[in-house]
Amino acid sequence: MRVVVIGAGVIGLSTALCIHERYRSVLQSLDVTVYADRFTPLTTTDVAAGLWQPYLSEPSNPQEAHWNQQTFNYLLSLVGSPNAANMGLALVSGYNLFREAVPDPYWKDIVLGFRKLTLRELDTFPDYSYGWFNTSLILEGRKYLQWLTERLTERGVKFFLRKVESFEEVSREGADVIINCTGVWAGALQPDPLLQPGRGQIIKVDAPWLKHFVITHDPKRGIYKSPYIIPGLQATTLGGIFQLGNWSETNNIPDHNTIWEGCCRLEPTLKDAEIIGEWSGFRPVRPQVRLEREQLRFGSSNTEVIHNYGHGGFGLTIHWGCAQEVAKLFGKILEERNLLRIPPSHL
Amino acid sequence: MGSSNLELIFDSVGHFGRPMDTVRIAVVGAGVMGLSTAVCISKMVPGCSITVISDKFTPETTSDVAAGMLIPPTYPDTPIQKQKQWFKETFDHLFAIVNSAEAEDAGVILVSGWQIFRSIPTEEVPYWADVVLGFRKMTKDELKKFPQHVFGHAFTTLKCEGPAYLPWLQKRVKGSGGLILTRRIEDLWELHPSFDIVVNCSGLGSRQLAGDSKIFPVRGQVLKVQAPWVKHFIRDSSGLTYIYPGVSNVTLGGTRQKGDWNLSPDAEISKDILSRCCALEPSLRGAYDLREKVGLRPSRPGVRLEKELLAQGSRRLPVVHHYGHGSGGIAMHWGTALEATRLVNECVQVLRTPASQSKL
Repeated sequence: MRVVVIGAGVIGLSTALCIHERYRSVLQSLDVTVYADRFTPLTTTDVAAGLWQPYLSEPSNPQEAHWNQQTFNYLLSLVGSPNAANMGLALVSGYNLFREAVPDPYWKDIVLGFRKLTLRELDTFPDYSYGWFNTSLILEGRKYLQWLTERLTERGVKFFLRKVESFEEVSREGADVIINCTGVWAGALQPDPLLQPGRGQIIKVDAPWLKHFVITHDPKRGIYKSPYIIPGLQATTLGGIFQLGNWSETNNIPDHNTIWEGCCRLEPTLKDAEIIGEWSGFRPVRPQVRLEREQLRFGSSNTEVIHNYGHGGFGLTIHWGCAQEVAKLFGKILEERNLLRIPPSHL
Repeated sequence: MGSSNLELIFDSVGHFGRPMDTVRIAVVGAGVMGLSTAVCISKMVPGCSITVISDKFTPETTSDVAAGMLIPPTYPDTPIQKQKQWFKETFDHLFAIVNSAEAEDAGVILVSGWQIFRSIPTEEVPYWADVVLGFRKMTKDELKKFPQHVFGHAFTTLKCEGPAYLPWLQKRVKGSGGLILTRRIEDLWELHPSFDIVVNCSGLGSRQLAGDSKIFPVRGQVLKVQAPWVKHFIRDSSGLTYIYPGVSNVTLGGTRQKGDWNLSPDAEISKDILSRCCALEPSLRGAYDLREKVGLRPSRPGVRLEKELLAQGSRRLPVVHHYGHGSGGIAMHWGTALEATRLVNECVQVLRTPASQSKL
């Protein structure tokens, strides 16, 4: 059973790991390979700040809310282990700020200790009059991808740097199942008018005195278009850019200024922060995550494709729930092909 | 150096061009108490000159070892309302700094976390709950992180770090015309007659300088480590085990050894501290660049905040005592400095009242 995962961001690698963890022991012939034209530190995941936080409004697909919760619970169960920091994982608390009262988010009981901000706390943020405080998790993209790569390598999963031009080419080489985790570039393999880049730009600074995330919201402008400050395990990410349809991968100066001015206004001590670097990336924006099976016929054989892309600005937030869902779909494929061997002791 | 030479130095500093009215104030001690009192005096007592005199300055004071967390202790000999006032005044003062662009220079940060209990405390809500930010009890889900503990507080407070805060205070002392002098004072009378008022912020030094047998050291050993992924404080309610993330390191503690004057770190104790902290936060096993530090908390049943008029023959020396904060130095410093300054003001009024001069 040859499985090819296309894409080596958080979605590709975590899905590969989830499938391997679940089925390698019951399917000796399971062979998983990862193809990607970008590996860490050049993936979209590497640019993400890594804060676990879904969008404020409920997703149109209720399964996404469930996948977010599964991911949080999974990460929470790991954050108390000695290896957490090696995974890029840590608890972090912080503030969501608004200019007027808003309803509580649907994920308020998933995060820890969710509450409204007191008036004294709001004194710290003179431009804002309402907000939340809660404890969440940081899962730093780069560290996590390195960790996933190590776990996959231990398991004998192979990685190949290659640009896949079509599902057909992979199928003709003998792949039985293709997992499509190509993120914002999925349209190159199969046109998808619902998928668009949500360009982001971030500045990473050295500001170790900042211990809380601060995310501001401007409902009129939309998500991620308002300044945010997210401390990571070593560096702090400053952001606030979201440009739908912009494919420019280079950092631009007006965006730099928007981020810098917005964040310094929010946190005046940033004036002393040393800038480590600046990056741009494309959130793979879609009205819903595409997570589904598709059977493609090339010549005389059927190739199973499982799509897992379009996670917008919440890829790290939702990744494990999606990986488990893909594993479930993969399991169905194995059942359909009578490949799941039931050990005698279970009968 | 004989005291006559000292008078010469002080006089040349004090007398040169000084108006008749200037009251000459010596602050003994350059830890958080001495420096903050000097700053308060310069702001609130008009017409005085200030000289801070100490044998130790940052980064070699007790205040430099302290983690500087604003989680106050309870002083048995002080009314709760007074302690709450001191804590609130300190918190408000530092909160204003943390909300300004100077926060990083002054070494003041906001930090959130948990104080955890192995059994339910009789007092579930401490007196300082409404001074810190967002105080509430921990939820069941939050307590899952600490399987040995059954109850906890979650809140956001401030951390004020000596190595940055003390230089920041020193700048302010000098900026208002104050002088800083390195000298070990063996007897407060050395300051007479060069100074009109002495403010005694000598911490444990008061055992000798003020003949105070009520003050004793409570030795604290800590590890300052690199673990930048730790963003929350964790404090066991016993006060013996704590993890305090700071600007550029994490303080792991600690010990409370009464009557122990030993300033050298003990390797066995360091191992024990690390092990206790890793039990609360397993990721600390990856901590690196561990540095051992020891500080002696200047402990006393209550803070000594009072005036004393020293007399020797015809000589008189007004002293304001301001010491003995134990483990609550940083947490209470501004409130007690304000009170010490009020006492200094009272002494200044007495000195300036012509009728009283016959009493001297």
